[in-house]
Amino acid sequence: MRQQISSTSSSESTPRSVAVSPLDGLRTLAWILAFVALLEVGLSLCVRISAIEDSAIGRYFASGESIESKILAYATHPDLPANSVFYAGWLDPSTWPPEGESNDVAVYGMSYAGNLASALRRAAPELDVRMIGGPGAPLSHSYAAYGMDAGRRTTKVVVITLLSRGMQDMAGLTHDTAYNDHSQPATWPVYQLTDAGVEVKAWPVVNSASALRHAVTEDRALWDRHVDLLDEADANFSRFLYSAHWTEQLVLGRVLRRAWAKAEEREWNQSLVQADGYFDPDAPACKVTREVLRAFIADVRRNGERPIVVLFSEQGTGDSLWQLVGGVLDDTQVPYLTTEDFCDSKVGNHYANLHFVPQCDDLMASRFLEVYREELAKGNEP
Amino acid sequence: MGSSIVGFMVFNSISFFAFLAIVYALYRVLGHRGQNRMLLVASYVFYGAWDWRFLTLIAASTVVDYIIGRSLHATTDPVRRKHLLWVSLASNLGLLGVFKYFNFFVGSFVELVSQLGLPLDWQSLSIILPVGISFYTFQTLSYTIDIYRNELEPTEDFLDFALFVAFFPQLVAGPIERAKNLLPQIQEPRRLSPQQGLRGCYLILIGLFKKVVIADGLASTVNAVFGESWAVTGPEVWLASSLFALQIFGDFSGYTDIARGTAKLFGFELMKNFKTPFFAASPSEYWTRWHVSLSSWVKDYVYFPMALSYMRRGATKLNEYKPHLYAMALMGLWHGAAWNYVAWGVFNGCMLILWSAIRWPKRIKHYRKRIPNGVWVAVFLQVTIYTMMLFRADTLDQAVRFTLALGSDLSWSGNLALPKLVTLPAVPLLIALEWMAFRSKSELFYQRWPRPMRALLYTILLFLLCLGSSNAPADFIYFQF
Repeated sequence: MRQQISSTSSSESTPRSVAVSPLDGLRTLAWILAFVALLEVGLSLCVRISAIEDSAIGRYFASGESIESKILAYATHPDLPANSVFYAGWLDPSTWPPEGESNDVAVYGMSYAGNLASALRRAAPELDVRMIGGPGAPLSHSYAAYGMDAGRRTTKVVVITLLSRGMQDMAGLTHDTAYNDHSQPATWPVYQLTDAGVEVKAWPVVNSASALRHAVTEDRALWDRHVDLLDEADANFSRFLYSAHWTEQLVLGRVLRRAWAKAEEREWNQSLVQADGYFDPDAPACKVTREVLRAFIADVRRNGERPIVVLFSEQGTGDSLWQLVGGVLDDTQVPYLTTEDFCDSKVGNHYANLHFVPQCDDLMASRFLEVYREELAKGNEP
Repeated sequence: MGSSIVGFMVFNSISFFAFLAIVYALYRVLGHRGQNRMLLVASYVFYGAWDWRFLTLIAASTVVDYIIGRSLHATTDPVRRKHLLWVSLASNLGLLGVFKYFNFFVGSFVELVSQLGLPLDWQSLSIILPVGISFYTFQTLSYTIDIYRNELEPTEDFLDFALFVAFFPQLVAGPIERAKNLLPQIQEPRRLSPQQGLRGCYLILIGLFKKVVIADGLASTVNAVFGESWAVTGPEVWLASSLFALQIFGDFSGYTDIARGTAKLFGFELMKNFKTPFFAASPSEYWTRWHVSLSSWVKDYVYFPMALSYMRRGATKLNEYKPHLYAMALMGLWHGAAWNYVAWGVFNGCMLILWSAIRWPKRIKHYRKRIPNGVWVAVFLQVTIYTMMLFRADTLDQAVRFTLALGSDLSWSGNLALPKLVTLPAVPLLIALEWMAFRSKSELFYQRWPRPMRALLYTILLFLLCLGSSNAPADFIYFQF
């Protein structure tokens, strides 16, 4: 054989001094276990220091706690602020704007919708704007809220809002089963398809912040019924992540729990989208979204009010939301706005928390007012 | 960059480690021949998990090269041998041509003709790129070329050869093994030492760390810049390109480490693919450190023959430089059917030429020696970062725009998001480990440390891996090649 001219080198030589026996391996393993124990103790002491506990690092290491523990922390907090997320978004009319109002515009939705309502108040102070919603509220929340609110006030226009990343929550009774990092405990019903359209599949047993506090601190039977209903009717539910578990007592356990939760979130998200990044129109949550939207528009018109739909495309989601519900919008001839048309989903139009920058909210308000005035100019027929 | 490959056999998945555990358990109870047969079946299961249709391609490639290898060895007729080699080249490169380059070349031709005022109506074909085709095609090519050159004797055992082509740890993203290295390991009984097992576990651990913590943690920051969600400025291009250099190193060398570690568990030694590449002080040194299995393949099978051929035509400077340029352009094209890869290859070729040119005059050589090596490393690192930008650019147009931004817009938009929290301490750790490997000229440097120090390193890597496992997993970048 000829001498080869090759630059490959295949094997690696181990230093002579480090010949290994199985016992060496066990000794190394023992050292690793000792370091892991030391790390666990050190970290658990560190995260108890109040300066660290309240910092981003502290929250990072706490994010793997169960939802039950997070809710318990809210419920037992001695000085929980009134604007805490614990109180936000409940289908509890006692926390809504007062009964008997006569409004120009009633907005139902999430924080993006809230920002739109604020921008409308700035752009057209003469308009009386009513806003009912919650953090990340999906269409099922808005539909249920509208159903409860419609008889309590009058309005000319009803704004139905959809968020491009709100689809996961359509299959659940609460945001807490779809996302694990923080608790946003408000609940809403979950809908299912029927031959006639949609119907409520399950209505939450806990419907207010006070009921949740009572359940988690005093009424174990109510808490168990709440969890059992989630197990039965919420497609995102995982008992391991939701209910208190011994693994969350360890810092490293929480780290692994968080990784588990993230993997579940990703799996759930992937079940909703196709390879091209658009929503899978045949995914159950997507089908329900379309039919709830259709029913929502029909109900608003039946009540003699004018619906306007607003589609919020979150950062990086493009026109995927419009692709999903565009057919319903065309079928129902409902006036609509999609943020992708004037403030697209690229980074520059969003804050780091994914909300639109104020310029976009203002632009949205002015676009909305054009549509609103066109609608009113059409006369009395909704 | 690239389409999503939804495969459950990716190295950073739980399903892969379940698969590995089953294969390893079976391996330990079988004899040598049984081990080889079982590994072959496991490799086909592994590859078929992506798309069972790909199996026909790899099987066809195996059959063709096995027969050609045997036939080459059986004849001494130079004309017949040359014909047989051409059949091997045509079949292997034909596969690559159809699956990887058909749309690119026809599309480029149609665009060229259209620009000349002759519009052609052509729809690109919907061809799925079989994962790993560029890797195993080059591997089988080297087998027949080595036999043709009388540097290797063909194997008689078809199943051993099939395992050489399909060996699952290195099947989909290399290292591109040579038959001279891998086949003897398949043919001879293998002995598993505890040392090899521990080293294999360490390689898997560091590979997962590089992929999960570094590469996946940096991906969103890099993607945001190359996705051009805003008007990206020069410093942002430079930073994103630097981070991409780390990302692709973490991704690809991480894959290689896991491949090598997995192979070690079965008693195989795969070649090193990365040798502290960011400490290279010149282009020629860089290509002995980065993707070594490909660069050495191109050197052995493209550059050397081409250089010999050109030198026979005359010892001119042009004839000396041309092979650099052609070999690197080919290397660029190997990565993908896109003009920015060609530009990346040509740029690297130009760098090699430039470097050999400026080294030539004695006076410059004298000054060069007086400059500390660290300075050359730092300077050449900037070149590497620039080439990474060319490599990552989605289009040639973007590469040109980003190049212009590097030289003109020195503002900072503030839109660049930070990498994942766990990645921030992990990057300096990776750089420190690479530096120690560079200083000690061995990636086994840590084995000389006292046991507690080694255990501390393993613990830190494990801890960061636990933290990083929350990162959204991205496809291995080199799967698309």
